[in-house]
Parts: sequence; C-alpha cells; structure tokens
Amino acid sequence: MRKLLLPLLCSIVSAALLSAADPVWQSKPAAQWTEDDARQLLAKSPWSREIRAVVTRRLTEDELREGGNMGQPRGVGNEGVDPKGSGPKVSPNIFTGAGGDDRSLRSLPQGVTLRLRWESALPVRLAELKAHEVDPPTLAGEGYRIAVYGIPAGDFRDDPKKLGEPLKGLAALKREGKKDVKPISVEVFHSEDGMVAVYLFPPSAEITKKDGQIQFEAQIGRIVIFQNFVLDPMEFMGKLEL
Amino acid sequence: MNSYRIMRAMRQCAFAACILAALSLPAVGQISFGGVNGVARDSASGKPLADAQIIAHDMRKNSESTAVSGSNGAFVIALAPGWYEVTATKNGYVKATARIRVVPGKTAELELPLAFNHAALESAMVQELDAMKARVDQLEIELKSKKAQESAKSSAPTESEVLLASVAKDSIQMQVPSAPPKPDDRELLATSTRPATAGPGPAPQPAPAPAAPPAPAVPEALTAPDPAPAVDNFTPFAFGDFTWLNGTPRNKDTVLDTKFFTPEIRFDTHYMEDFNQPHDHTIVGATESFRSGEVQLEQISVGGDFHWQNVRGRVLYMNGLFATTTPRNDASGGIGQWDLRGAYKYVSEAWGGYHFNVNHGLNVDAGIFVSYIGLFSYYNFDNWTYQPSYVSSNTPWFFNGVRVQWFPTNHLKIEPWFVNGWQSYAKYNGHPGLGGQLLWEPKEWFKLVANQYGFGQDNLGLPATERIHTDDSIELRLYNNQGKDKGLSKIAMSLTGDAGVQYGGGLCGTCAPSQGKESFVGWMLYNRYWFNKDKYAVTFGGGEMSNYGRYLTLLPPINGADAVTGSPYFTELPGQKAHMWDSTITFHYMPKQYITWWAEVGYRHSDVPYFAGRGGVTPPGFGLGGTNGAPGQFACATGAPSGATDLATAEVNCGGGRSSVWFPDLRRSEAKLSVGVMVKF
Repeated sequence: MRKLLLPLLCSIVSAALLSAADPVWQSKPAAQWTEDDARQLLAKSPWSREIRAVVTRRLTEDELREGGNMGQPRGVGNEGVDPKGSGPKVSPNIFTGAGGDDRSLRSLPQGVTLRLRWESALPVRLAELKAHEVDPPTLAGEGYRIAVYGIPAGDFRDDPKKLGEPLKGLAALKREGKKDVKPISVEVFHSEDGMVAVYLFPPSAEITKKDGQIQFEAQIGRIVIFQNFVLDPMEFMGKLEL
Repeated sequence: MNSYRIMRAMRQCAFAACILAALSLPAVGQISFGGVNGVARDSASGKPLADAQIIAHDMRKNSESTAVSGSNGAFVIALAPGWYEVTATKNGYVKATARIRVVPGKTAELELPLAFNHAALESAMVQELDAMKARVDQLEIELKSKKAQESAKSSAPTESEVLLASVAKDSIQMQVPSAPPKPDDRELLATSTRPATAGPGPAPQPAPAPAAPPAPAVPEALTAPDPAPAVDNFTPFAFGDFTWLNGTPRNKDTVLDTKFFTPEIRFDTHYMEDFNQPHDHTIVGATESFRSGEVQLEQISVGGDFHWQNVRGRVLYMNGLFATTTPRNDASGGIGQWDLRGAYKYVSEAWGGYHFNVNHGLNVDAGIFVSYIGLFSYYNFDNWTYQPSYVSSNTPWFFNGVRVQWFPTNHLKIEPWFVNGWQSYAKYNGHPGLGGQLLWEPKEWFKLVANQYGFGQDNLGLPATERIHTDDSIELRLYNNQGKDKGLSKIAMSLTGDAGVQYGGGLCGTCAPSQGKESFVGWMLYNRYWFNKDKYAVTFGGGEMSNYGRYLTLLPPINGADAVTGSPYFTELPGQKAHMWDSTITFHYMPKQYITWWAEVGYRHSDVPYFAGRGGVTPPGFGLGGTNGAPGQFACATGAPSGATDLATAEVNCGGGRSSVWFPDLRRSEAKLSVGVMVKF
C-alpha cells in the first residue's frame, strides 16, 4: 500500500506544482509559444477574459414613452438578446395569478457571457498571429483597442461604422483621479458566434502601470459591461501592454 | 466524410473540364494528357489553405505549369505525361514539395501539407517590437519638445498658445502620473468606481464589490469574472422600476409589439352605489364617478403607439362615459363654430412628433396629450385609487397643443407646453396657455414632479382674466421587500399641493371674496400598502380644496348643465366659496399585471350644497338628449321650462311662489361604495 501511496502523492504534488507554474506569456519567450499556448493566451489571460455582463430588462411601451422613446430599441445589443419563448404568457383565468410575479423572463435582467480582449496588446497580436486568428478586422488608427466578443446577433446588417456609431458615447475607460477616456471610434462586425464590437481609444490616454487598474465600461444596447483590469499582470517583456 | 467526398467529386469534375479544355487546344496535337488533382493544407490543423501558389515543374523539359489553390485548398493542373516536382508556397508557411508521375489519361492525387513558418513569426514579432519601441521613442521626443515649448513661454500667451500649453500640460501629466495606489487603495478604487445599484424591481441584487487582490496572481485573478450591475444608465428613467408610482401603469410586459406599432387596449367597468340614493342615478362633482346603482363602462379605449425610426405618433380612442363626461367640462367649445366637442369626444390622446437624438432624448409632439397635472393618470387603471381627490379630479387631464420633451440626463425631464388652454379643445380668448413640467426621478424610490401653468385666459366671456397655477407632487417608496415573501411587499406615499389664482378683468387672486376673489388652494395625500408580492394593495388617502370663484369646481350637471351653459342652481361667480374635502379607502386585487379587481369606499364633503341627494339633479320633463328648457335657466316644478335665469322671473313664469320652481336636491356630503374591474393591455 505504501509503495502505491508514495508515487501517488508525488504525482499529485508534481501536478500541483505544474499547475501553479507561471503562465506561458511569463515563462516562455514568444518565439517559443506553441499554437496551444497562443490559444490559451487568447482565451484566458490578463488581456483576454470571459465576463458576465447583464442584459437589462426589456422596458414596456409605457416605460419607453415615459422616457421619451417609443417602440423597442433596435440595433446592436437590442435585437436578439431576449431568448426565444421569454415573452409574456397570459393564462385565460382572470381571477387567479401570481400578482407582481406575473412577469415574463425578459422583463427581468439576464446574464450574458462575453469575452473582452485588448486587441492592441502586443502579446494578443502575437498570439493571434500564432493561432492564425484573423478576426476582428483591425480598425484604422493608433490607440488602445478593446474587442467585445459574443454579442448576440440580431436580424440586421449594416456598415460596421454605422452599427458602432451609437455605442461611441456609451463607453469609457475610467481611472481614479483622471478624466474618463472616450473611444474615438467603434465598429461592429458579424462573426461566427455573434457580433464583435471593437472600441478604439486614443493613444493620448497614456495608460501607465501607475494607474493601478482601469475600468472598461460600455453599454451595447441593453447589454451593460463593467470590467476592471488590474494593470500589474498586464506586463509583457517588462512593459505594460494594452 | 461527406464533405470530403463532395470536394473530391468537385475536383474530379474540374479536372475533367481541364482535360477537355486541354484536348480542344490545336497545339496539343496527339499528346494524351494526364494531370494532378491536389489540395494544400495547414500541416498542424489539417485545414485547407486558400491562395497557395502551386508550381508543377517538368523535370525533363524544365518547364513549369502553375495554379492557385481555391478557397477549399484544392487545385487542378492538366499536364503532359512525365515526372514533375509540385511545390506549394504561401506567405508565413514553409514551402511543401512532392514528386509525382503523370501518366496519360490518369489523375495523380496529391496532398501538400504546409508547415507554419516559425522563423517568419519571430521576424514579425521582432518587427512589432521594433515598431512599438519606435512609437514610444517618438512619443517621448514629442513630449520633451512640448515641455521645452511650455517652459519657453513667458508673457501674455495667445488663445491658441494657451490651448497648446494645456495640451502639453495634460500630456506631461500623463507622462508623470501620480503615485501608484497602495493595495488597499486599489481595493477602494475597485469598489468606488462602481455606480450604486438601483436594480429595477425585484431582480438585480446589488453587485458585490470585486476584490482587487493586493498582489495579483494572474490565474487567480481570472478565475472569478467580476459581476456587473444591471443598470441602463442612458435611457431616461430606465435605471429603476417605477411601476409602483401613482399615475403609472404597473405592467411589466407589453403583450404585443412590432417594429412599427405597439397596441394599447383599456376597459374600465364599475358598479357604484351612492348612499344618497339619487333617483336619477346621477353622481355629481367628479370626473370619475357619474352613475349610481348601475353597471357602467367608464372607459373603452383602443389605440397605441406608432414608431418608425424617429417618427412617432400615438392615438388612444375613447368611448364609454368618458366620451361625454370629459368634453362637458370644457367651455372652449362655446367659442366659434365647428362643434369641437363632437370632433374630439372620442379621442383621449392623439399626437404625432419626432424624436431627436439630443442628450438623452428630445421630442417635439403636437396634438392632444395627457397633462398629468394633479399627479393621477387620466386612466384609472394607472392610479392607486379610483376616485382621486379634488386636486386631481378638477385639474386638466389633457392639453391640446405642442409640447417639447427634453431629457438632459437620464433622471430628468423638462417639458415646456404651448397649448390652447386649460384642458380645452380651443383657445378661449386672446392668450394661449403656456406652461411646463419638470420631472425628476433621481432614485427608484423618489419622484418629484412640478407642473406650472400661466398666461392662459381660460374663461368664457372673460377676455382679460388670466390664470396661473402650480401643481407639485412628490412620491416616496418607503419600503420594498422585493417580493421576498407573502407579507407586506411595499409601502409608498404621494403628496400633492396645488395653488393658483385668476386675475385681471376685475378679478383678483388675493383680495377679499367680496371684491371678486378667484383662488385655488388644495392638497391630497395617499398612502399605499402592497401585500403578497404586489397581488393585493390597500390605499388610504384624501384631500382638500378651497376654491374662491369656483373656477375649478366641477359644475354639477343640473338640468343638463355643462361648462358652456352654466347653471342658475350652482353659480360660479367671483368670490363665491367652495371648500371641500374627501377621503377614500381602496382595495386592489391584481392577480395579473393586466387586470385589477377593485373596491372602494369614499366620503366627500362640501361646505356648500353640492352633491346629488335623493331628489337628484334632473328636473321633471327632462327627456333623453334634451333638457327642461335651457340648462342655464330655472325649470318649473311642473316640468315646464321657466324661460328665466333669475329666480324672481322664474317664480312668476312657473305660476307663482317659490314652490312652483323646481330645485335640485343638493347635499353637503356623499358616501359611496364602488366595485369594478379594469383591464389594460
């Protein structure tokens, strides 16, 4: 029994040590990355992370009118965000019901999984090259690029710039003690698994490690995103990469 | 597997076509062709590679044939028999080569796996890094240059110099940021940068503040994605659930909506029992209660909202008692021609307009729109009680004119009006009515609405008399358990205060009643309790008004009187007082968001005879659709018209003596029990 136990323990300890090892972007030079390494960086790293955002509840026509709007809003983040069959159900019995709980699923806020990625960060660009990822198309202009992947797609198509225009005023990079940085352009592309919104923030923002952390806030139709990025681990080859 | 077969079949077809084409060439002569049918692939993933350059080198003749792989990686080359070296090249890949022998009439199958070129990747990385370094160097040079320029400046800078200096200063600040936050500070930052959650309704729970680790270990930091607050901070008033408000429909869903039209349907049916038991079944002095001892349809409305891009319009048709009881309180139809009451009686809202994407929204609408002076909604389904107090019941339900709705923030609406008059289809005299609403809802549990009105000359036959009025309300949600259990789920209250005067043309707002005082002061207070996840609710409340000159006191429909005819039995002369109060207890059963079963007990009191008593307000001889003589004249007890507006003449005309003239049975109080059902989709 002891003979078996010792190797088993050794294996567990080794596995634990291996799993606690430094991530690939810290432990290996980029030239030695494998395609899997690159995919790991693109999937889960300081520059790329899966987040839970919120699809805010669908407003009634009365609420929309009270807020100065009429008709359900259209466009990116508004269409296709309500699951099928989440609409109101009216049972024929008018004498019984759930009272205030008598509401449809879509009149409640829902969660949605999205992926945020700093597309302008050098390790991300290297990993994309290594993993042969070509999306999203690169926006013209210098600056910090953040892409939001996995936005539910609606039944519409338009010029990426036109689709992104309404989102421009609804996003910001926030730091303590500094003015919010607004994107200079936003473009929205169709992709295999939904839509991708790419935000281009001006290079004049000059984000440094001394900022500590930075918060990306965006509203895409009914989708609301708040995400903090701690800047320390976003260092690559001794330099902050965003 | 199937796709592979299809691809293979396609390649074979393409090859056959090439062979046929090659055979048709006259230069070919008698040579019998063969060929190569291949596919270029990524060696690692096995995925086909498009746009790979293919060269088939004839090893004997030293000649070459070329092709480019298609989107599926396939390529076909017709070749003369012999030995060939086939090479595939593509940017970023190491070239792949294979030797094949082409025999007449046969197709050689070929796979060319291309390996990714790591050397090229390294080179690209080095280039990227160099470019980044160059960019950083460039920025540093620019900043140094700006610094130098700034320090060189000494006296009276021009406007453009100031601008340049400020840009340089900003840049320098960016270059030299403040000290990095300590770990504890970071944690504070992580929490403080989140907006406070005012989650709508029962749903969103306040998001826990994400803990910023003091020394972030990367993989750990990524294991728990930060939660996000569920708040729309752009759309006006979308940050909270305001369906608890008095005067607001409680629906959480719209049953049906399309890109162009969202329908709205309302039914409001009730049974009222006035304990004064008027024999003519007529209830007096309200804009919600009209008939006693009967089942009545108060409102039947069908309509909805039209919206296409930014163009908008709304129409809500109105039938039932509202269709006749609302227009009768508007005397402006007495000006000029065209039967305005007839034109608008079946419409409660009808307007069209445009939405501009300015700030958080800017609308310009024209037509008939609801006023919300007096807090309560025109439509009873939206209200906490069925019978609101005088401050609401006696103030406008609608305006006819133009409104601008401006939303400078998502918490604030500023809405100026240019209207024909005070709940009037037409303009009474020379002035239109001017006014506006300010609506502020900074939190989900608080609402402030302030309505102001002035300039209007809203009296028939008083061209120089103007009216001003202020109507201000707050609503507070005092308790909300977010539907956690079946007990008390919410408590809320509303408080409204109104004040106004009429002045000019011999009338005054602050003088003694004997000098023609025309003023209005009123308030109302309601307190509502919801139970069992908002399935039941009870509302207690009431209010009071004092109205000298009675210009906002609803004229009782004695002998068919309305706002145009007036009545000799209840005059509305300058300085005449009308001081009234009321209270109600209302029970709502709301099993579904679209239906309300309700019961209400109410008591109203007046310091002058006002409410219909047992004798009613209908004289003998009053026929369907007519009156006993003119409503503005006295009626005789016999059922004959008196033809006189003064009592002395009426007594003579009716046969002599006070007893020959008919008088309505007006009382100082009224108790009422009502039940009903309201539906709103």
